[in-house]
Amino acid sequence: MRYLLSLVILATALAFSPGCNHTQLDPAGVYQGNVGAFNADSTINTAYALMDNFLKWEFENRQVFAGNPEVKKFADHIRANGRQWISSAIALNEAYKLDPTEGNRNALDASLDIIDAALTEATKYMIKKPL
Amino acid sequence: MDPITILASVNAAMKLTKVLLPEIDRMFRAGLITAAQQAEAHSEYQSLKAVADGQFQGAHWQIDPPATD
Repeated sequence: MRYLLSLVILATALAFSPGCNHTQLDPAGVYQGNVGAFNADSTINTAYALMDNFLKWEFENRQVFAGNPEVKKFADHIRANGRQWISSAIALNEAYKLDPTEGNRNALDASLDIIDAALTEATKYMIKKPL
Repeated sequence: MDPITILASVNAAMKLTKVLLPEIDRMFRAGLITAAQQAEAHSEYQSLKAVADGQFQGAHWQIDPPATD
């Protein structure tokens, strides 16, 4: 189980690590070579996908983890906040696209950092009680 | 922990790994992102933006109400 939770942390950390690979865009693509815009959209997509997949998994396997309430506690934390996290990130991403100032960029980064920190922190306390 | 619980836990862990691996694969995608891959990411983002609230529906997004008896 530790391996599994480490995988979740790894996926979360990688999802929010700008520049973890050297992305290059085909200039003929819809992003027209704008790596920053592609990365921001992709990061939000991945954040949602990770949350949605994790919640489906927890929901379908809840009885298995009946003896470890930390798993459901973590999932409920995402259920309670995930919509707001993604909505805020999308709003700030759109604001940055319209007005690509450093301030808007910092606000977007801060929003993504909140999602990263919340998922990472919630996942960490699960590791304290391996199944 | 009894063997049945251990097997069920392992099975559940394998299911989670299976659903997360595609996301991890996408994150490790390096090199040139093709126009088709960009279109996929853009479409996914636009869908998420357009129906953001709708993305968070379904039984797995619901917090169970406190039990009453």
